[in-house]
Amino acid sequence: MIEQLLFLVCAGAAMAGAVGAAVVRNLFHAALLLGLCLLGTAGLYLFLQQSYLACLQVVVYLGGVLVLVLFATLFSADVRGAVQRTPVWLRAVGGLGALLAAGIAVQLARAVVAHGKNLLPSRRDPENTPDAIGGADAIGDLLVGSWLVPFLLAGFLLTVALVAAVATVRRFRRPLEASRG
Amino acid sequence: MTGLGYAVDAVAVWLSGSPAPGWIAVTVAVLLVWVAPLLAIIFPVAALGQIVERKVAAAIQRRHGPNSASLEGPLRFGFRVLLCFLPRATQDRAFQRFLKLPVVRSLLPILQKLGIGQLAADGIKMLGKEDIVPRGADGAVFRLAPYLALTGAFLPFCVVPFAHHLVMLEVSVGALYVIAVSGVTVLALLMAGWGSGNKFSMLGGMRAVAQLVSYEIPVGLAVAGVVLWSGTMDLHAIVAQQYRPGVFTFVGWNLVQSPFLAMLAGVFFLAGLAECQRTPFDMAEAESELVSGFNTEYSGLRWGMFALAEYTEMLLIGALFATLFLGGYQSPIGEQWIVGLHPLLATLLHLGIFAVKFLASLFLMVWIRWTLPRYRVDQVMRLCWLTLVPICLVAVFGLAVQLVLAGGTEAGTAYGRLAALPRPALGVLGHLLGWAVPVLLLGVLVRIARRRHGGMHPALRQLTGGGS
Repeated sequence: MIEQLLFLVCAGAAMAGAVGAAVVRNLFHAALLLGLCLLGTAGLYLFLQQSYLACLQVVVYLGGVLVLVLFATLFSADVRGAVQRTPVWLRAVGGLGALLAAGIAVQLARAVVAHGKNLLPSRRDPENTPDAIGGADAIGDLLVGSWLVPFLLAGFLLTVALVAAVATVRRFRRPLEASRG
Repeated sequence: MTGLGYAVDAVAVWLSGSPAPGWIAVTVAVLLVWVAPLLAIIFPVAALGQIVERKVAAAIQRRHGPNSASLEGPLRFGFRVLLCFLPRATQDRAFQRFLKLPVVRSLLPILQKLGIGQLAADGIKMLGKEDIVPRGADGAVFRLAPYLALTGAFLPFCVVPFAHHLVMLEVSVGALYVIAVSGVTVLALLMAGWGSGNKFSMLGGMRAVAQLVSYEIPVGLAVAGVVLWSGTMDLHAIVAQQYRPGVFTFVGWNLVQSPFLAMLAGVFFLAGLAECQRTPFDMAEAESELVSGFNTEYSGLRWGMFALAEYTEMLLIGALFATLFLGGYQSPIGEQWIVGLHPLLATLLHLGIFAVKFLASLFLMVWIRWTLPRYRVDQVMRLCWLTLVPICLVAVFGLAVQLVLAGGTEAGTAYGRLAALPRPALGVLGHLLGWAVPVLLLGVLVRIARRRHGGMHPALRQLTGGGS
């Protein structure tokens, strides 16, 4: 009962956010609505028992990507979307995208209708419950198991990026202090 | 079992009297376990933080601080509201009788001296103020931002263990959850800054976001170090992992387990201070240059929400510091006897110990605020990227090497009703490396500092009046 209500809230937030982000003219509002969509998706992950994935979604997308997007929108000359009109070719591309999304949605719906009963919790294979698939432990095992090399490469890349950020700041340190006298 | 955590399960079973509680019992249990503590404990404690701040500030400046606002007015107001169905004369008579109670008569002056009356008066004043939305503001974004800030400050408390099993939500990814949820504050500040339609607010919001995003890296790395050491992200398990039997329980605390963890603890506290935008890192609301930063345009209750969010975040940093590095709610001495006590008594003791721990860090934060001047905006960023992040990287690397040299884990001792957790078994080599490397590092740092500044930091030399 409560679970269904919460599910509807999360799904509704995700859908409303997605539609709003595409439709609203004000760029800042569109970015915030994108955030609502991402938050709703994180909530949906919780219903799949994927608390780790939900937390990561919030850290990476809400705390990182969305802030970047918001910063980027603030560089726009026309944040409120009051002046510029959308060009026709862009509208055409948007319509094409909408068609594509509708096709995917229909395919998904057909798949759910065809196999939906097997997805119910009562019919689930206990060996393959989501918790066993995507919990923090399972993801950790995968990362340092079969995906060890990509994981190490990604970790190495991130560390290099972090050290490079520090090095970049250091390079500007001397002249700044010199100019301060 | 409802899958909503031990506390909810226990309360729901107790309420319904059956092992499989219905949804009404579960709802009531959720309200009791999750919503009530938020509203009834954290909210007033965060408000009390303000009084602690003002009193400590007053003590540092040799003043008395708030001590004159009477509690009678707010109490009379409360009586009028509670007894609104009675005639005015009866209300007043009841109030006079209440005032003459010996407990009230002896307690009221003390509370007034402590400044509680000021708190009540401020609260009522804030409620009564006009809620102004500037003409150039983006109404919806402007109105929504304070709620989001408050949400980001309150939600992390869901996974902080206040005592044994006294935690609202037992999730296996608690540490990650805290970092994720408190990241929402960044959005709130950006919304407040942009929504105000004011250049000062915008600048303040941008500064706040730049600072928060930068300082999330040292905070995240410090938490990652603790997670690496404990082998779990569950805050409750992290506390249990710091348990050692014996008289001197504090030898198990993460702070003294490894010098690298001590380094991370220092970084966590400093970066946490920056995360809640306190002096010396309060560039976002530098009143001398930005009026009041992102909350310039806010008035009344909405401003109050931002203030409350700040104090709640201070409490959160204190609570997390205690949980991650100071053994959580465990007593420094003789924890094994407390575990053996009656559960209710043990819980109360643990609550008290936890409160002492995080009040101590609250006091430290206030002390810092009223002692140190504020950093310039570029200095804030430089401290993060050039000092804290490298220290974190070195410490996490050192921790990993130490763990590898330890070569394995030993079974810990079961803590209360929590199962034993494995913990790193450091050999002689691990301990030696653990203490030798930081000492060497410190030596090198001192050497570099000496060569650069000729013995003493220029600021220190100026302060002490010369000398090398």
